[in-house]
Amino acid sequence: MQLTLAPHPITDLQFGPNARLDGTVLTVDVAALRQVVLQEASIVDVEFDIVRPGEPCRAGPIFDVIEPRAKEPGTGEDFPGILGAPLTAGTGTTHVLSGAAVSVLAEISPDLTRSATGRVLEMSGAPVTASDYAALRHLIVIPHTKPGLPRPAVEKAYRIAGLRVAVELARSSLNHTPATCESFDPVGPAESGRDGLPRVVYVGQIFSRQRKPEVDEPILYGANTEGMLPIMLHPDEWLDGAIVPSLHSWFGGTETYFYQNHPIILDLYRRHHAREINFVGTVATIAGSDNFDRDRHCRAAANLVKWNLRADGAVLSKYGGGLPHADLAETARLLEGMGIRTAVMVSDVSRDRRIESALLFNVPEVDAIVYNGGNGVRWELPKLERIIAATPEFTKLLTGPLTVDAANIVGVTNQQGASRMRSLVY
Amino acid sequence: MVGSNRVVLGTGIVHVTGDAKLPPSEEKELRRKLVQKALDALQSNEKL
Amino acid sequence: MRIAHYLNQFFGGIGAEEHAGKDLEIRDGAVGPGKLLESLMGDNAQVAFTFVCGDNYAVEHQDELTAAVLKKLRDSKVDLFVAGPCFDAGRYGVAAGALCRAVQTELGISAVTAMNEENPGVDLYRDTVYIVDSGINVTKLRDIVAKMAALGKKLAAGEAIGSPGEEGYLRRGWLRDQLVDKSAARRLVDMLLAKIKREPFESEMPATAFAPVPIPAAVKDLSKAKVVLVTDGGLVPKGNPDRIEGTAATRWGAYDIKGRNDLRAEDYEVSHGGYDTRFVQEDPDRLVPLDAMREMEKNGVIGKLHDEFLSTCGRSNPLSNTRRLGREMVEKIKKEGIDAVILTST
Repeated sequence: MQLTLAPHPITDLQFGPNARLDGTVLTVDVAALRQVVLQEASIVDVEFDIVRPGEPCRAGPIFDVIEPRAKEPGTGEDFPGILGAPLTAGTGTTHVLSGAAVSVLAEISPDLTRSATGRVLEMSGAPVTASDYAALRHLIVIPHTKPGLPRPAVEKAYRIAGLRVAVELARSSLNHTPATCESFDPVGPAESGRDGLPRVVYVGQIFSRQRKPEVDEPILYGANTEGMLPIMLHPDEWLDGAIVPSLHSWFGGTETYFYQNHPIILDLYRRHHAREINFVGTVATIAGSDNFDRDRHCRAAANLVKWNLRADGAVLSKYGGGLPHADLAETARLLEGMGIRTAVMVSDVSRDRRIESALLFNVPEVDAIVYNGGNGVRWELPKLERIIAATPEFTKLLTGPLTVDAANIVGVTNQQGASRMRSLVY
Repeated sequence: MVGSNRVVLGTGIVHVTGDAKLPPSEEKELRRKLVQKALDALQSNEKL
Repeated sequence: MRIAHYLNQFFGGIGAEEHAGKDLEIRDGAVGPGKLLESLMGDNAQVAFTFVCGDNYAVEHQDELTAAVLKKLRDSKVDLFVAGPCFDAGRYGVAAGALCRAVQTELGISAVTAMNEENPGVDLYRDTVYIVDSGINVTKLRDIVAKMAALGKKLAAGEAIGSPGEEGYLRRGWLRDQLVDKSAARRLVDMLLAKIKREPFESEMPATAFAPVPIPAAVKDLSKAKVVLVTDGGLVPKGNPDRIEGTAATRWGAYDIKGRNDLRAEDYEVSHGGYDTRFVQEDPDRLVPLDAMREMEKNGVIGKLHDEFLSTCGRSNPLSNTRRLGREMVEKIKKEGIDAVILTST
């Protein structure tokens, strides 16, 4: 497996009649994109907008954020199993419009019990330092779906449309020379020349059976993960479109952008290149539907890490809400029992900001914990003139002034490792 | 406190199952009562 | 700045354990460590008056003491309430914590105290009261009072209080969110590598919840049950043959009471530095109620009283010791086929 990323830095997006890349400025052809989006029968109309860092504007609710990327023709499929055949991701060359993003809006809040606004993209003011997304130039996709459709159908349309737009945008760069080319050092359980370096694995949950997936919900190479047991994946599969988030974006804190730019995988690669570790592979796993299911998955994942990847250490992340912490901790506990050192990354479940409410497990061996905070932070967002939303109701809701929890600014609380919001103990 | 499910309050720190201020016979009776309370707790499933 | 100070009988200069029953006294000005507090505060800070109270009185009359302290503070204007430092004196710590909390809640006056992390006052009050980490070493008094002074000044002035590490207080158990430079991913991999290399690392969240101990099922038939007496009050045979320490005990013993209906003063002594042991020395049944239990046995209320009582000293004893002591006792208790335990604790 050898993935080459060909980044084309983007400093501006602008609308124009022909899609093209001039240096670092991308011209976006909305007529062409409209055709791409309307391929989804559920979507009857669509608009587009462009937001730039520092602009006093706000968009929401955000369904997904995707980095515009396109495979060099003949070297693989874009989002295999979803937009095309399920060829293995992570080979060949992928062109990347770095500094840009495609952000798809939803028409209703993903979960009203959690927030009326859903997750908001805020491009100016106090929240910008807390979210990497505020530093990108976004093409906002504003879809209008057929009224009366079941929710999963609507969400699936958002997903497919968003991925298609992201690919289409990036295709403008195909005939251009990239700024650099980044090839990843080979990684795998049998790579030579790494004796003495600690063998490290990433174990990442990609779904939580707190919810039952939709029949046609694409998650892993387009499969919905129902009945799935943990699977070993090459790190480049994560980076190159094999995995997308669940359709249910209330799961919170996971976007396609940070699968493509997976912070944990990229950091492990960095250490691998620096010859600090031997990055031997990854396991994608699922948080179980009950205790029995949990035991089954945790053991299977731990066994892959121990017997197939022969790891010395593992970093683990979770997906979804509170219950998956149990799976996280149990997997780590099993690994520790097998002599494999672990560090885990949890999300903030402390509603009362008390330390006693912060951890959902108490496993002495699972003693290396990174804590993604945010429940204690809210921002007063000012009234803004420019609000980008799919409905007048949402435009009104987001106009402000309004108070938004940190977790509802997209990119602030992230379960893929991008978050820089910590909870400190006082 | 941590870990205790059945707790009976004694008569002060310096004489948990006694009371130096009482005449001996009354003190003994107090002690009997406390011990009985403890034995009752052992026969009950209620947390105290 | 006007300060009110709370001290126990020892630091108040009245005397040691034998005066622990002393009731509340209010003295003008600074007493003992209060004078040190004044000088370290500087800026013309004054201890306006000092509450001095015996540790046993404070614990046994907590409500009355609190009411008296609040009353005095209501009638006088103070900017800060300081209690202790208490080090590992448990009753002192509990009283100090209670008073600090009451003063804060009822009167809105800033308060600060100091004690060792294992002090029972910490678990009770750490989340509402600022407790400087004093450790157990009383020779560090000056350092501790200095930290109390610095923290007390900030509290009285309404300044923002820094982290536990910065200000020297025991973590209160509250989370504060902060943006940091490093992404969670980077921190995660850093932490794993440190752990693999056996280098020190700091978990971002300590597990503070104790796994709840499920309540063991009630004894079905007490009249057939074998019961053992256990104590952490430090009762040992004369001569302390097992050398059980009077603080942070690392040992425990099992002592024969076969055929005895009563514990006699001449046969026992008490190894426990945390309470006035006179009364137990006079009549050890006041701690280990053998006479009453023997009656229960004779009357058939219980099946059998085990032929030994188990003893250790609970004073200032960190969990790292007591967990082990407890487990070892349990091993023996199970081996002896014992059905139930009565644990007497000071």
